[in-house]
Amino acid sequence: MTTSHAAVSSLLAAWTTCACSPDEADAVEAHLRTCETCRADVRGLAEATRSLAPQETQPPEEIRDKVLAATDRPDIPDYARAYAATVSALSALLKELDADDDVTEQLSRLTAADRLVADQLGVRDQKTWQQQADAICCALTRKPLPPELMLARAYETWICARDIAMATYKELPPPPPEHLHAIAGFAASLLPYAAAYRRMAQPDIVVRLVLAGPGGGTWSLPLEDHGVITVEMTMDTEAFCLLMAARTPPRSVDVMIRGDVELGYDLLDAGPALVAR
Amino acid sequence: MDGDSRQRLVYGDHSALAEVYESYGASVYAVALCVTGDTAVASDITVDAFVRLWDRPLAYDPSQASLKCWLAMLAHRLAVDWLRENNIAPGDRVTADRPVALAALPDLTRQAVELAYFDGRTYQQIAIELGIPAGTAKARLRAGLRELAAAL
Repeated sequence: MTTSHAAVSSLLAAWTTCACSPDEADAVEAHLRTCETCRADVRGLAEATRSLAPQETQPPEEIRDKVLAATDRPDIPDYARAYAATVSALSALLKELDADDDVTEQLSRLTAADRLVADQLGVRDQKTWQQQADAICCALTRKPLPPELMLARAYETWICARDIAMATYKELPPPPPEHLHAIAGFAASLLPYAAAYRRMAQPDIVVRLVLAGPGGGTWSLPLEDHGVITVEMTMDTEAFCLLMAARTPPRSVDVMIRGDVELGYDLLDAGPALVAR
Repeated sequence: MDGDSRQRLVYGDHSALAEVYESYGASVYAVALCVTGDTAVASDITVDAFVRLWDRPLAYDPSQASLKCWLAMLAHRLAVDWLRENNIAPGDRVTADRPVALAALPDLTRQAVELAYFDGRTYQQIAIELGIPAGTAKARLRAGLRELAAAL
C-alpha cells in the first residue's frame, strides 16, 4: 500500500467515514502523524461528520454504571493521590509509544527509585515499572506512608514522564492544578535543604515564594513564619517545578525577585543541586 | 473545555470520565444506534467507546477534533466494524431517519456518503455498487464532506 502524500490525500474523506480497508486506514494514520497538511484537511472533514451524526438519544441508565464500573480505580488516600495521578499519566504515555521508542533507561531508573517505597509496603518481585506502580497504589489503600515520600515519588514520576514525552516527541499535559500545587509545595520545601547544601543557609533568612498560574500558591520558607522576609520570588508554578528538577537552567526562568536580589538568584542556582544526576 | 477534560483523564481523574459521559453519552449512543439499528449492540459500543477513551486518553488529539466529534467518530468506527463483522445486509436492520443535512446534498454525492456513513460500505464497495471507478467514489465522498462542512 503506497503511502505517498497524493495517495493518502485522496483517501482522507473515505478514512473519515470509515470507508477504506484496514491496510489503507493504517497507512493514512501513519501518514497523518507526520503531515500537517493532511491533518488540517482531516480537521475540516471530521467537522463535516457532525451534520451526519443523528439526534442525541439517551442511552439506557445502566450504561453509565457499566462505563464507571469498567474503569474503576483503587481508592487512594488523599496524600498519595498526586502519585496515583502521575502514575496514570506515565502509563497513558507509554501506551502511545511505538516499537522504536526505547525508554528502558528512564523507566529502570524510576523503577529503582520507587523500590524504596515498594519495600516499605511489602511489594516485591515486580518485573516492570507498571506492575510495581500498580502494586504500590494497591498497597497504599492498606498501609500509610509519610506524605512527603509519596510527593517525592509523584514529582519524580511526573518529571520522568515529561522526559519520555520530550524524547519521543509526544505531547503530555502538566498535572492538573491540585496535583501541581502539591508537587510545587514539596519542591518549595526542598529550597532550605538546597541552600544548606550550598552552605547558604542563615538562621534569619526567610524566602517568600509566590507561584503563579494553575496550581499556584505562596510559601514562606523556612516553614515557620517568623522573621522578616528577606527575599520574595515570583514565577510560574510549573516553571519552578522544572527548575528544581534541573530540567530548566535557572537563568532561563522568568522570575521576579524583590528584596535581596543576589540571594534570590543564588537560591535559584542552588535549587537543582539536590537532583541526582 | 476539551483540553481540561483530557488533562484530567490523562491523570486518572474518574470524575472527569463521568462528566464526559454526561456530556457526550447521548451523542455516542445515537451514532451507534443509527448505524447498527440494535439497542443492545449500540449499548455495548457506547460502553466500549468510553472505556477506550479512559484506557488511552492520549490517543485523543484535541488539535484534530473536538472531544464530542472524536467520540462520535470512534462510535461510528466501532458500529461500522460491527456491521462488517456480522455481514449485515441493508434489509436486515431498522434504518433510522437520515439527517436533514444529507438531503441537501446533490444525489450522486448523497448516495456515496449515505452508503459509507450509514451502511458501512468501503469506497471500493460503493464503486462496485454504483458502477463507477474507485477514484470517483473517493472523490464523491470528499465532495460530499466538503459540502457538509461548508453548510455548517
